[in-house]
Amino acid sequence: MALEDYKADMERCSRCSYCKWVPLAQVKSLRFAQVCPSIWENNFHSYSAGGRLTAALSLLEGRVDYSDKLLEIIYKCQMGGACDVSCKVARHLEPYQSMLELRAKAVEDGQLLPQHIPVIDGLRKEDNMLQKLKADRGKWAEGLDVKNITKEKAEVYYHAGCRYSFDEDLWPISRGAVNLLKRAGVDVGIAGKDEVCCGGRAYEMGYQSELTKYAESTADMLKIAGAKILVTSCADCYSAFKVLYPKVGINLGVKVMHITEYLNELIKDGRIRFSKSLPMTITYHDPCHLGRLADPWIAWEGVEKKVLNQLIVHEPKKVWRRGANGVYEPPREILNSIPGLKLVEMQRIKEYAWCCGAGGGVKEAYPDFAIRTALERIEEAKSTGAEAMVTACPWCERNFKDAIKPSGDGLKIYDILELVQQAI
Amino acid sequence: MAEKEELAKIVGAKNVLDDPKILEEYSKDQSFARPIKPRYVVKPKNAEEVKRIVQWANETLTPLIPVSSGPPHFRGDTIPSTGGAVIVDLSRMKKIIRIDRRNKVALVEPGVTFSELQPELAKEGLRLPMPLCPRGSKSVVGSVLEREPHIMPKYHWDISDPLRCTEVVWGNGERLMTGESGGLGPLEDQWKAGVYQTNPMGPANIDFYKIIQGAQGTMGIVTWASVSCELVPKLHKLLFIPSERLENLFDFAHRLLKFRIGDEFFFLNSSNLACLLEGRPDEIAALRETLPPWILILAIAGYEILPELRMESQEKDITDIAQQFALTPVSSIPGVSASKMLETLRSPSKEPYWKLRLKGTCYDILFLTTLKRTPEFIKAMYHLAGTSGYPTTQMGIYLQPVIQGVSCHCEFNLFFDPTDSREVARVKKLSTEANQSLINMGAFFSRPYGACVDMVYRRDAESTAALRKVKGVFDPNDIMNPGKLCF
Amino acid sequence: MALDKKAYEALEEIVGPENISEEPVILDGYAFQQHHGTEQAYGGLFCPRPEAVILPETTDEIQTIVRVCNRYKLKVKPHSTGWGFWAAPSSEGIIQLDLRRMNRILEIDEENMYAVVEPYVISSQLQAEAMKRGLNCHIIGAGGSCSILASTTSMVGYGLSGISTGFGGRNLLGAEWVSPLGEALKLGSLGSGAGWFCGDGPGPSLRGILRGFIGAAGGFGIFTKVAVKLYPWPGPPEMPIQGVTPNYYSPLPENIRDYTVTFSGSWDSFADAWYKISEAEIGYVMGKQISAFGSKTAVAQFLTLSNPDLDNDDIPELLESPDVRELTEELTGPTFQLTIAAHSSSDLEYQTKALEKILEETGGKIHPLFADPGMEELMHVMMIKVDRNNLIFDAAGRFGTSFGIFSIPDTLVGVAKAGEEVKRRHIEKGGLMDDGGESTWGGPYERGRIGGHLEELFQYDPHDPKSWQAAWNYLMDAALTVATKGWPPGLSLLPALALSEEKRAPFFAVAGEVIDLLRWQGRIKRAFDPNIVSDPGHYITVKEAEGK
Repeated sequence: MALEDYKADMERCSRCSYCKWVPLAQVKSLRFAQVCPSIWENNFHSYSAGGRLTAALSLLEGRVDYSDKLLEIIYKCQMGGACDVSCKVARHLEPYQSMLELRAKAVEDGQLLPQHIPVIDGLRKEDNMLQKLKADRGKWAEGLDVKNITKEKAEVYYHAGCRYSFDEDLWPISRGAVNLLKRAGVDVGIAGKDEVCCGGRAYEMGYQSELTKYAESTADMLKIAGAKILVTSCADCYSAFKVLYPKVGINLGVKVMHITEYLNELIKDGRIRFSKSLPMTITYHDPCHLGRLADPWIAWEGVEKKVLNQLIVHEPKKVWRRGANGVYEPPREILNSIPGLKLVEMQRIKEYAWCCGAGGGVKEAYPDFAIRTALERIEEAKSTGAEAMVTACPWCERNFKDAIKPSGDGLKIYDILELVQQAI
Repeated sequence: MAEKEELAKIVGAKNVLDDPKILEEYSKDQSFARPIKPRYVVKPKNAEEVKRIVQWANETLTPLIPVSSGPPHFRGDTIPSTGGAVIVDLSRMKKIIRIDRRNKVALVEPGVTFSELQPELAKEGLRLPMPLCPRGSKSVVGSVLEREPHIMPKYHWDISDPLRCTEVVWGNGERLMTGESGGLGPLEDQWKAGVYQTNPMGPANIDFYKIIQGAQGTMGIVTWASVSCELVPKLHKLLFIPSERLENLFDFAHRLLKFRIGDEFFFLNSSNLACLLEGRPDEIAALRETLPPWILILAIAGYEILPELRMESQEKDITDIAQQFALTPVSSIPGVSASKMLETLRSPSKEPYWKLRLKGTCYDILFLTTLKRTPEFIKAMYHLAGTSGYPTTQMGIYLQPVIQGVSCHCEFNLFFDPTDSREVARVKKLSTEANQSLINMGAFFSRPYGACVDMVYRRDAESTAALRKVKGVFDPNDIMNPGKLCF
Repeated sequence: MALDKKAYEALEEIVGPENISEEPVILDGYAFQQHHGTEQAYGGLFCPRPEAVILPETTDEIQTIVRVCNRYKLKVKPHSTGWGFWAAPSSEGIIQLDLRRMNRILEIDEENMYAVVEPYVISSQLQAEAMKRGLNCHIIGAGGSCSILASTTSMVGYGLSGISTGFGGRNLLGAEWVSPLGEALKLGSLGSGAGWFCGDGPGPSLRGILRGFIGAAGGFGIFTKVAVKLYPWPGPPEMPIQGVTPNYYSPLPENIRDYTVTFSGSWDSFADAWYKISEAEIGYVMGKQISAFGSKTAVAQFLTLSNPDLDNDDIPELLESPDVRELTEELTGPTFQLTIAAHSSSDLEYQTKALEKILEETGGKIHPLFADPGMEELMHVMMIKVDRNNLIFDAAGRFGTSFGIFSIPDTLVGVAKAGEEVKRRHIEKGGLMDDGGESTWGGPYERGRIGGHLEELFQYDPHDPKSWQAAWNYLMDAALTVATKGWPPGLSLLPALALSEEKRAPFFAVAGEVIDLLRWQGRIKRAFDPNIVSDPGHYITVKEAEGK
């Protein structure tokens, strides 16, 4: 669908400001009631989802033209999708999809955010989002005794993703994941330097065709490898495979799982057992792309109809994605099964979690904003009394670590895999 | 002379009074206000006459002082502050215009007193939440316009309660109905349309009722008011919670106030309770000696629906909560039975007015604060009284939770003999010092009278300037009770 | 029309460049507001674009901004959360103040039961903090995302907990208000340095000029801090919310009961019960909530809320079902929702038995469907947290309101009937959603002591210009009906505020003498705002403000 197809939604926006807050039923305090980092940071209404719908309407109606300010409004947003969740508690609108189309239109119209240009150029040249060399993509796995699926068949394909491939600080986690899977007897393989970007981030930034390109490539690779299951430790990749690929009509032909889903099954099956106790109080951060943005895609094509003069219905019936079916429980089940570990929840969790700050091209274009968003989450984590914040996405981890470094905070940041490893 | 004729044309010759004795009566009251004689007293019969009087006053730039209640007056607000004034005595306007049981509202003219209204309401099974035993001659309209707190905080949602709508002749001579009646046709038409003067707000974007209330006649003259009534209880029971120490009662009180337990609900010291219940000074003194220093007076009621169960429920709650704070509600204290107390509270004060019984007259210091702050004001007051030589055992103290417990009306009653020049001088001096000290300590004199007026407005220059602008709108020629408040 | 450069710089100097903008795309964000059926008056979905938008953080900044505006002959329109055409500028050339950065709760006085808040504290936030202390605040029908300051000071204040939490406009205690000349006025006890507990005095109350029934909607000065009255909350310090979006629900604690009460189609019994409930002093939340969504469509819509397999698209089919039809018949018209919240077991006994007795005496019945636990737990959240009234936009895209008369139950029954009759006529013409006709929302305030209200809601599609025309025609008809019935205007004249001065006259003409009273508003306005700096348009017209 194109931006114009969302015009009715723009006009029907309630202007209720629900998109700025956690679902109102979930407000537990003054301090942690907001859910949208963009308006939290930038204050002008345009920076909310509702405001962006209005900006889109203004653009379509010729009331405004492209400008630096419009681009800032469009892109100073992590596309975390919390706005969409809150809106859909009471409305049948698609703010998130509209905002994706607004970005796509900007790109299509040649209105490119300057900070994104080198990132996309790098993607196109080197098939990764970190402006690194493709040739170095496999380095994270050096010394790992693991199949390469471009050469051997494997039942499970482990996809590292760009962040885990090139961010050396985080290699222990991707390496750890592979080792853990192997130790549990999983027939796992990786693609190493032949792995390509999932294309998800680029899609979110408005470069939708990049995703299609990579989707086709990865689908081909998986067919040849005969893999049945794709497992990834990266939430962004997970969401791309689970949601965006079906959205653009590409079937990878495998079951897509996040490492937390897979590990949880292994733990339940007894293939991973804990022998140590980790006496620690921790809190868990739901990555946007593992949670609300991972609500599986539901393909729908139909028309809007009016009955009873003005009641809006769809034909055929449209089933709505509201962020309810993301991966919320498996990570929690894992944490709750680790001996000695005490999980305390933050106020903003699951489908209404606060974003880590990295997504949507913000880490690349507005790094200070990304850090401030992370610091807000860190404050929230600390308010629970937890010693550490645990998450399940490398972008979240990178952004939290970058934020904590200068502030010298006591709070530790872990990937869930690290705790599993420590407890085995 | 021409003036008298002009006024006579409006109200009729026999309702224009200039007999020196009569003028003398209206020139002073029980306060320390300097006596100033009015030029005439006029007694209009209806709103149209009031309007014409106000119009005349605008043409002639004559100060008008509205008076609704009968004497004795205590606040100085019905005494002219300047020469050449005309008293507009509304006591002829005595109609109880309408009593509506279903909507629990009564419409009355300003001359209607509590003594006249309550029995009529009772016939319909209604009662008006009343201040603490007002004098029999007290005008209902006068009382609600002064924002006198009533004794049932549960029904005191806003400081303006129980006032609802009014009809006002503003200082500029325009007649306006306030609240939901504003801009609608005559009352009879309104009733036909189902409008019964129950919503005080507006009309439009001005809450006119809040401007006329507390104005002490400086903005306009009210010619009728509607007031929100409650049901006469089917069952009614009073409890005393005595205490040596006032503070011991507060947490208990807060809990009850929070959950709206209890109807009549206020604190008295022994002196005031004695004055309310006994008639003669020696009886008052004797009772005072036997009473506990502080008494929380609390009544519970059952109405139409399951009155017994309602009573039981409240009584159980009170018992449970009292236990938590080591208090014991009782139905009698030495010398006083609950039924006698309840009887006393149900009506306006019997003669003589209870504040006059001990010494002949009384000066009230009254302000708003919060309940837990009252002990510090009490302490200060005792200190000042003691220093001035005022016999502190005689001083009456009355604490009335208002706005459903958000705030507390604090009243010190300084009883004194008006024929004893030393006592007069002492109380006058004490009242000035006390007002100033209390204001400095953060007492909010929301209803300022007499000596405290200048102190109060000096403290809040912005509000003073704003009020003067408001006055300029409603009384551009400054004819309404000039010299009062900050005008 | 661009802002004078010197003026812009002066304003920028106050708040810093990141807190002021005159970028067209930013300005349009503020020009898009809910119209409530007045699109026709605006000629579209946008209100006038502000000249600039400013985000102040302190009272000082606001005072300075206002003084600059006086100097440069500019106008300002402040909003807090800003929802409704009255939050936007009423005409071109007006600066929007967005008070979003003023978002603190300064104090919650648990004992004396009030809270001091800045403009951008939303009701849900205050409620969450108050509940921790066994207290609650009055949340208006527009819900928890609205500024509590705004509904207390500036725009009506209707909410279904009004039976126990009063009416927004009457819950104002001490306040800080910046006048149109830039002076900071402290109301009541605050001005005397005594605290926040009273908004009235010394002497007459300045609350009287700052708002009446409707509120100045930002057209008369700027409130920067207010104390709002709080009320008891006998429930838990934090309501345990369960379920997945959108079906958030909360199990009812022992001391709270939710009912839907029906009267077999008798409006007289409905009114009787309303009176008796007020007199028996029971109830925590009370009002017509379900029927507000349409006497034809509400039940079907509510069924989709609690059943994850159902959605709006299922409504047509649901309406065909005999079961749903029967329920619809039973649950609309003279019915209301009632929550009882008891502070003790004996209180619970009294309240529940009193309700039984009242139902016996009036022929009322408790409806079983909405005593179904799933629905009950969902309604519990909706009625206490007011988290989802936004649903009223959902069926057709937008909603509007009409009538909104504040009166006594017997008269309100007349309002419901009149609303239904007028609305049905317009539904037949096609532009309004056919919600069945009677869709009133409202209830009692202050235990019925000052009355209650009912407003007739309607639903229409902003995407369809024919639908807006229909909405506007209906609103005109509704206002005329109110005036001819001799009722006070309530909300019926609200749409007129969307009209320009010239266009306003005929609309106001139907309201006759009520409108003459605007001359008082004009006088107050001139006394306090001689340079007409506060955007007068939604409060009074410029001509009226100038005394012409």
